[in-house]
Parts: sequence; C-alpha cells; structure tokens
Amino acid sequence: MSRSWKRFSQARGARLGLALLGGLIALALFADLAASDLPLAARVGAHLYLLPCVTRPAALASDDNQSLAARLGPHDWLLAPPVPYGPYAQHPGGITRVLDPPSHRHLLGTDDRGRDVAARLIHGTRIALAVGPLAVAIYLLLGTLIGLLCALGRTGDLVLGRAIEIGLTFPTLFLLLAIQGMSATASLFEVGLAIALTEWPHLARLVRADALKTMASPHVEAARAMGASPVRVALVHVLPLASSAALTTAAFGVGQAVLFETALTFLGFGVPPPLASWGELLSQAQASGLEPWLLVPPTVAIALTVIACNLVGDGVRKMLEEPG
Amino acid sequence: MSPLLRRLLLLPPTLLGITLCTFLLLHVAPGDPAEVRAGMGRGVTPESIAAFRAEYHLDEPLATSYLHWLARSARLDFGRSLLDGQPVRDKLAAALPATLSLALLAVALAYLLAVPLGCALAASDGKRWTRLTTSALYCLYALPTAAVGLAALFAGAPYGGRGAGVLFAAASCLSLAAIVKLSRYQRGALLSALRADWVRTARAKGASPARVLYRHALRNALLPMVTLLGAELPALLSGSVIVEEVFGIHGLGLCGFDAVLARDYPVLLGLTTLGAVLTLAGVLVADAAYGLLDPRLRGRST
Repeated sequence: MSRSWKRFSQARGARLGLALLGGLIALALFADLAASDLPLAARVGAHLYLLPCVTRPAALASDDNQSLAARLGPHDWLLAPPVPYGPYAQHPGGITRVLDPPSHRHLLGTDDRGRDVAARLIHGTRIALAVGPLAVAIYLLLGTLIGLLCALGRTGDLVLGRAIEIGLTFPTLFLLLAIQGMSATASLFEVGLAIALTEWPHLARLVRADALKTMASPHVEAARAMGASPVRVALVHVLPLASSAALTTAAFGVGQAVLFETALTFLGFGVPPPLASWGELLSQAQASGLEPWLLVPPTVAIALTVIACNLVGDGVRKMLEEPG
Repeated sequence: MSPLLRRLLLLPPTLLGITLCTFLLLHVAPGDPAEVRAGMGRGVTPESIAAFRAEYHLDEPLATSYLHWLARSARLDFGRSLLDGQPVRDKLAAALPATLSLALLAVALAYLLAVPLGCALAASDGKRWTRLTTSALYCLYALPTAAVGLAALFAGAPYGGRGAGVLFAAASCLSLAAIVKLSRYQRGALLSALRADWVRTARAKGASPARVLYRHALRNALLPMVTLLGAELPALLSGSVIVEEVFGIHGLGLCGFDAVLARDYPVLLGLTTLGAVLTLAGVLVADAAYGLLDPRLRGRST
C-alpha cells in the first residue's frame, strides 16, 4: 500500500488532485450546509431549530432566511449558511431579482429566474459528481466484459471486435434520442447511461489489447493445461493483469464524463430542469446575452473538477506502471 | 493481405452494423403513441408519423423493413423530413459543406499548431517555460467547449452566417482540445525517439543537433500522429454540434440538434449513416497515409 502511495505521489500534482477532488466531494455531500434557503440553526418564537436546512421542518415550509430574519423576536437568533439561498428558491424574501450582477447580496449574481448563482453552483457539484462516477461505473463494467470476451476466442473477437468498431463510430446524438425516447422521463441515470454507451468501446479496445497480450503468457498456458475453465482463466488469470487500462480510464473518465454531461445539458439533452447543473448555467449564459457571472463560475467549477480528476488519473497511471 | 486491404474489406460489415443498430433503435423508438405525442409540437403530426411508418414499412417484421430501407439508402434516398417534407438528402447536402469545412479547418489548425508546439516542448524539456506551458495546456484541456465558444463570442468573435470569420472562430474552439492532446502525444513521441539507440548513434557519428532532431527523431515521431487523425475525427464531428450551436452555423450538428428536438426520425437516420461514412472514411485516410509515410510499411504484407 505504502509503495503504491509513493508511486502515486510521484506524479506531479497527483496529491493536489486528490485533495481537490476530496474537497469537491465534501462540497457535494454538505451542499445543504453551504448553500440553503433555511438557516443552519435558528431560534424563532421560543422554538429551537437545529439544521433546518437539512431536516426542512414543516413549520418553516413557507419561510426562508430573509423572511425569518425579518420576523426575529428580541430573544431570537439565526445562523445562516455561507450562501443564504437555496438552488431552487426563486424569490428569496419575496423580492425578484432577475439577472442581477454580483453584489453583496448575491455574491455571484442571479440567473434568469432570480435564483442565486452561487447556490446553484454549489449544488451543481452534486450533479457532476453523481453523473460522472455513474457513467464510468457502467462503462467500466461493459468495456471490461466485452474486452475480455474478445480475448477468449477468435469468433468472439471477430464479432465483438466489429461491435467495438461500430460503437466507436456510432453518432452520440442518435443514441441519446433513443435513450430518451425509450423512457418517459429524463433523469440522471439516463444521462449517465448515454455517456457510458458512447464511451465503452474506447475502454473495450484497450482491455482487449491487454487481455490478448496476457493470453499469450506462460501462466495462462499453465492454467489451461491444468484444466481451468475459460471463465476461470479470464477472471482469475487474465483480468488482474489486463485491468490497468480500466483503472486508469476510470480516473480520467470521471473528468471526461463531467465534460460530457456539461455539453449535453448545455444542448438541452442532459440533466432535466430544475436540477442545478453547471451545463445549465452555461446555457443560461448563452441565452442571457453572455453575462459574465453566468459564464465564468461554471467554467471554473468544471475546469477544477476535470483537472482534479486528470491529476488523480496521472497518479493512478504512475502507480500501475511497471517499475523501472 | 495488406493492412489497408483488410480495412477496406471490414468496412462494409461495420457500416451495415451501424445502420442495423440505428434501424433497431428506430424500430423501437416511435412505437409508443403516448411518446410520439410527447415528441410532437414542432410540426410533427400523428398523420406524418403514420405516413412515415408506412413508408419505412415499420409495422412489418424487422428484417423486411430493414431490407426495404437498405435498398432505398443504397440509392441515396433517405426519405423526407417529418418536419417540412423536404427530402432528407437535400437537407444533408445543404448542411454538409459547413460541417466538413469546420472539421477540416479544425484538423488543419490542430496539426499546424500541435506538431511545432510538441516539438518545442520536447526539444527544451525540463526548462521553466516548458513546464509553465505544459501546465497551461493541462488547464486548457479541462475547459468545456461550450464555455470556450461563449467566451470567444464575449470577446467579440462574429456570430452566425457563412462568413470566414465565424468559421475560423468556431474551428479554433473545436480544435482546442485536439491541440492539447496532439501536442502532448507529439512531445512524448519525440522524447522517446530522442532517447532511442539510433539517435545516439547519429550523435556519435557527429550529426548536428538540428539534423538529429529533424532528420532522425522527428520523422519517426511524426508517424504515430497520423494514426491519431483517425481517432480525432469522430470526436471533432460530434464536437461540432456544440460549436455549431454556439456560433449559429447551419451544419450537420445543428441539423441533428433540430431533428432530435422534433424527433425527425428520417433526418436522424440519414444523419447517422452519413456520420458513420464520414468517420470510416477518415479512419481509412489515416491508415492510407500511414502506409504511404512509413517506408517500412510500403508494399509489405502482414
């Protein structure tokens, strides 16, 4: 373990990437504490509320930070989150501010429906970090399985090799339509599935090449001579040696999947509204006449996520490289 | 059998497979009436859907309807758009030049910039500016294309129409990721070539550093770049959807975008086929160029 960690850290910036990714994951997990329309803790009319931003008590259903602050009694107090707005709250405090530039009230301004950009940015971390790993998990399974099957037999290779090639040239847009067409509602899962279905052939090709190389090695021949079944050969003797491409792809893949999700949502085929996605902010930037506060924050957030994933990917590749 | 011939022979099955997959999707997709209703709005009516299903024999067994479609497509007849009744072939023909010039310009830009950049980075490896440049490229690679395009528009890039300025701006945005990727490959390939035995031999024989770099190392390091062309083309073609949307260029990408929004199946089917043909042609060109450029592969059979 410690040797792996040492090799991982040898890649420049790998530790930085890991820290960055950890921070982003923490932000996604605790998004409700960082940006919410309800306070972290409050005492309103002799009632003590702890973390109403997470529990969302029914008594505060029609309230937000601003309305609560306005009706605080003499012994009441309120601790608002750093960003005192929720990602969906349209008119905090009953005041509509559409496309407001950044100010002390809204640090990153508001979008075309008066929602706080900072809050949507923070909650967008959740979408990005949900869709990315989901897509990667699906295509890791699919790509590794098909790559391995290719290496097992000549006929399988001929057929599945064509399948890989078809997958590599298959137009993404049509695939999306088909997936959207077959189910009634668009959801995170479908976006992940669409990304996975366009990315698996790339991985399958890499796994196939590695697996074919491993199949020719003496220990596989020995296992076969001892009567191991093809499944056992594939899973026990070939897969561990052919999995480095898969593991490296997994790390880089999350970043690529985040970019992909952004692009899809930007075009309007991705995460459905009103979910807060970074791609949706970009499409608002386009629709609103290129307001910089709608363009720059999501761009920086996406770039940071992708850079973090790629740095971790560099580390993983270094870790799996054969020493010497 | 030469590798090129092998490729050519494998081309038809791949193309058939792609059309079969698309057709399968088509066969299942518009079946549910509720879902057809959901996809309406932009001029697609139940009547046009019914006419479309009859025209494509979609209510007959899959094999029959596929063969019908295949026979028609072989004559380059992809039917009519559900939206405006225009022949799909005319629609595609109108959109093709914009996308093709966009993709070709992007490829040209990518190679013209990435190859010298990669070489410069490899030739002065370890210097401070190379490290800074590498980091900058690393960050550029993480930017979403849509954001780059919007930033270009914000900075005053032209929008819409058929002007050369729009095309150039769009192609630059499209080629950005490819530039970073290719220059990284070029740098890596040149560095490993510079460490090779034959380079040491050339140096020992007294060849000048420039001769060693350009004559011995670069020629070998350029070869893998050519194969990357085949891998980059599909990415550029699907990336052009976003760039065309951002810059308002009426190419295949925007055509497909509209077709998806309106569920205009005949257009999508034609588009898929055309996209596959373009991609396969690109891969084939890359393979052929590889064979031509590498004297060791010329006339050799494997």
